[in-house]
Amino acid sequence: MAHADAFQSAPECLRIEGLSKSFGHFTALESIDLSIREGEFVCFLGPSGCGKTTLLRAIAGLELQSRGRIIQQGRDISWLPPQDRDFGIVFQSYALFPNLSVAENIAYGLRNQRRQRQQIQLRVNELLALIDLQGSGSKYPAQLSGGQQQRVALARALATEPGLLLLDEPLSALDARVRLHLRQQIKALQQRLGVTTIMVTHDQEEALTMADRVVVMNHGSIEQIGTPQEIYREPVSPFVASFVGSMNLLKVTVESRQSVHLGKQLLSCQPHDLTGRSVALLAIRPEEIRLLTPVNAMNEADLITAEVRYIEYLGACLRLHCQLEGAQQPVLVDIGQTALDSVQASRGSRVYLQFPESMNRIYAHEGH
Amino acid sequence: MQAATRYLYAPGRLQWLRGESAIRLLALLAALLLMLIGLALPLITMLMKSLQNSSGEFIGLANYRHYFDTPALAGSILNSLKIALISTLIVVGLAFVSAYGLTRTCMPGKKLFRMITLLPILAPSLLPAISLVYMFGNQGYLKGLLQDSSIYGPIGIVLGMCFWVFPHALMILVTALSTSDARMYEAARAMKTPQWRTFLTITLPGIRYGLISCAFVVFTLTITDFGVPKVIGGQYNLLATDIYKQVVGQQNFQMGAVVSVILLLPALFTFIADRWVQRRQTAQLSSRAVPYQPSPSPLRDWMLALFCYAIAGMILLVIGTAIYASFIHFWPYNLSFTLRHYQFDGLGGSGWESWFNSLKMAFSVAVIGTLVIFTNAWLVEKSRDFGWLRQLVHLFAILPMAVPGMVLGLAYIFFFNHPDNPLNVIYGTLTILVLNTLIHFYTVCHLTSMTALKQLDPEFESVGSSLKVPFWTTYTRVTLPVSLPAVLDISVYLFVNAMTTVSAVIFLYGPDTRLASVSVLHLDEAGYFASAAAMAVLILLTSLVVKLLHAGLSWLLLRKAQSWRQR
Repeated sequence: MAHADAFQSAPECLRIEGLSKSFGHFTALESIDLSIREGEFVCFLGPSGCGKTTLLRAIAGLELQSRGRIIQQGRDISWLPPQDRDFGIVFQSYALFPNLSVAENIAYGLRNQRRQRQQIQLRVNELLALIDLQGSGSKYPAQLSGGQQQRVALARALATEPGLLLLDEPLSALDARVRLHLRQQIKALQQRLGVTTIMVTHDQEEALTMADRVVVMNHGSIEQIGTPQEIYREPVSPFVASFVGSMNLLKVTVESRQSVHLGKQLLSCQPHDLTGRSVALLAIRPEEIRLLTPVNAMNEADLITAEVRYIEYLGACLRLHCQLEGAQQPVLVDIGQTALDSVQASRGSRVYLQFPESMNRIYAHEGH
Repeated sequence: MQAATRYLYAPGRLQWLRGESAIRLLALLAALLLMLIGLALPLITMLMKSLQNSSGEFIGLANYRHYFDTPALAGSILNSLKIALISTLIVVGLAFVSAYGLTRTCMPGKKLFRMITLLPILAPSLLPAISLVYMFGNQGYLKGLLQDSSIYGPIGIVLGMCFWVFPHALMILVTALSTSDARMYEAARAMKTPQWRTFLTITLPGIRYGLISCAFVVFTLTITDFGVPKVIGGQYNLLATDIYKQVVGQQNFQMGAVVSVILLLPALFTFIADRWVQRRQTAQLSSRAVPYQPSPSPLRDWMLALFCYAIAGMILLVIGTAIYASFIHFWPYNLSFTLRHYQFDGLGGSGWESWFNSLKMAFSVAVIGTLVIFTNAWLVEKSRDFGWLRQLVHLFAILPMAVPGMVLGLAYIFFFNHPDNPLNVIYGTLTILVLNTLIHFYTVCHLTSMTALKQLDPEFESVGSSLKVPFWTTYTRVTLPVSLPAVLDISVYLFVNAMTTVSAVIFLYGPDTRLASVSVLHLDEAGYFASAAAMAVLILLTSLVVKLLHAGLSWLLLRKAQSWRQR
């Protein structure tokens, strides 16, 4: 929470009001409201087809909205063509001009500003240093690696010092290792320059690690806006809960405002408003579930017993695929190697699970 | 129209419609205007003419009734269909075997064969017809092969057509056969599939669209061609020659219009059918496909090689005959060498002047046409707004392929020669020839441009405008240079076709703008066969030189650009 507060006092950079877009009968965006502050790094996160790219393109003016307004620094830009707006953009494909050298690519927007040749050269060198590609100015894009091309595209977008940087899935065409490295580089660069940035991604890990605030989208509307911690710890809907990170979604029966039945077991949970309904969903992350040794389990209440179906090795941790006894529902539990050794669980063995009250989030069960 | 109004008056639209967007809109409207003046209005005028009598009064379908009541006229429909079908069968068959040899075997001499098979397109279709007369005519050196049949008629027409259309068919089928996925053949081999079954279940289905497309192209070319039947058709009437006879011979413009409309129908039908087939063809081959590499098989390779050599031999024989005939005094009596057939003096044609005219015209078409067509294609493909307008321009751009040259030429007479048309000042000038040729060969260039443009990153324009660079700067600094190979291909295609075309321009040249290809026809008509051959050879050589220059230039440019083009 404290992280987001850093931008509370910053002036508003971009405001979107009631933005909608439809292609024929298909609604790509449904009444989007959003406010972005100066210097913020915001990620639009969602599955493919959720409208995140359409929203980004509407902000750029590459796509015209059907309804609604976009205000950038107090100026209504809703109907301005892209060239009259103030932004730099990096595409998934980078769209580097193949017949121009790296330096010419970076200088592409500068030449148009009628700057002096010397000034342009200085700025290009500055940017080349910024992206760690000194001495590569005369190379052509095809002679660079994917990650290097990506950085050139970034430098080209930043060259004219735009007030807003738009990144459209900038990392998804890269190898996993390069992607990890560039993630940090881009984030560091953004913080150094303080440029307000919007990045579209379908990779939740990317969004969580890079963004100051994440906008989770689904079916053309915003599901949740919040800091990475809020999105991960307090998802507002089963969709956000299961799209960001792994999440067990278990069918439970509501008992009271603070308790539910999972099978026969009564569990304390986060307060909810679902008293009227009988069936609800309990959401708990695999790493939030505690696994008890049989000895410890003797002294505990609220225990849930399950059978281990198989154990998946994930490197840093192990994922137990269990079947709840009585409830006949699958549940995932992540634990470390030492924890596993201490409970001596193996395939087919019985384990004792504990769901901490603070982690038990309750959602309405749609479609029941 | 309603959609357009709604579009323009949507909130904020007018604000959007300024600056660069307005320029884009104007450019698109200019493209539309070109298609209206160069294609739609002339064709509509011609359609109207076919419903009028000679004094311009509307008489409904009376002309058509008269046409079908006259067996001498209506018989041409069957004749044309017959010739086109037979030629299509022969050409597609020959081209398929040759293309198979080129792409699926290790036969020797592939490059040379490809080069030789390109030669027929570089000459007007009059050239094979003239050669065939020297070979099989009354004094022909191979007349014995025909026994009692005459070359003047269906046999000659089909032979000439096959020669002239073969390269087109070969190119399409080579493309179709090259885009095959080696992994499918490996899978078939792994499953121990016999060769004949692999051919029936993988090869044929893979190229069926190419085969159909090829058949359509060949059919359209043969049913609309004018040069071959004009020279060698004798008394055998075809639709294309009927138009010429009605208009130039009998000055019966109304009947010319009727025949044109009738000739337009099969061409239009194949065009629509081809479009329909093309639409189903999309994404047959994934980008991950592995190209097929044939492995040697001596018996098969040599059988196909001999087949291809035989075809190459025939092509060389036909062209060689024309060249030989143009350099000897008088076939078959005086076979000594002479250059006098290349003097063209006092033979009624315009001689060398017509060659210069052709050169001027072809050069203008190549330069103007390439710029106009590629720019229009770029406007269609790379603009974001004005969807309805772009669709309309695109539709008009692919339509010329369905309009036979004779029909387009006659339509131009009706439209541009009308005294009330302010554009009639260009009638009889080089301008109308350039416009007509540009429109006549528009479609292939447009499709080539679209293919090249589709290969570019769709976001180049977006990046340009985000950096506040005007769209025309991005066009000239990035789009054009990157598409240079395609642009060069288009220009050389236009040049060669402008050099060799007869059908459309036969109606449109003026006293000062007679073209070389028209001269060939006139020299042949006047009985100066050797000079006609000489002029046809001249055209062939001109096209060949330009083609070689183009190849050299492309090679140089690609080498220079290798640093950024190679991935």
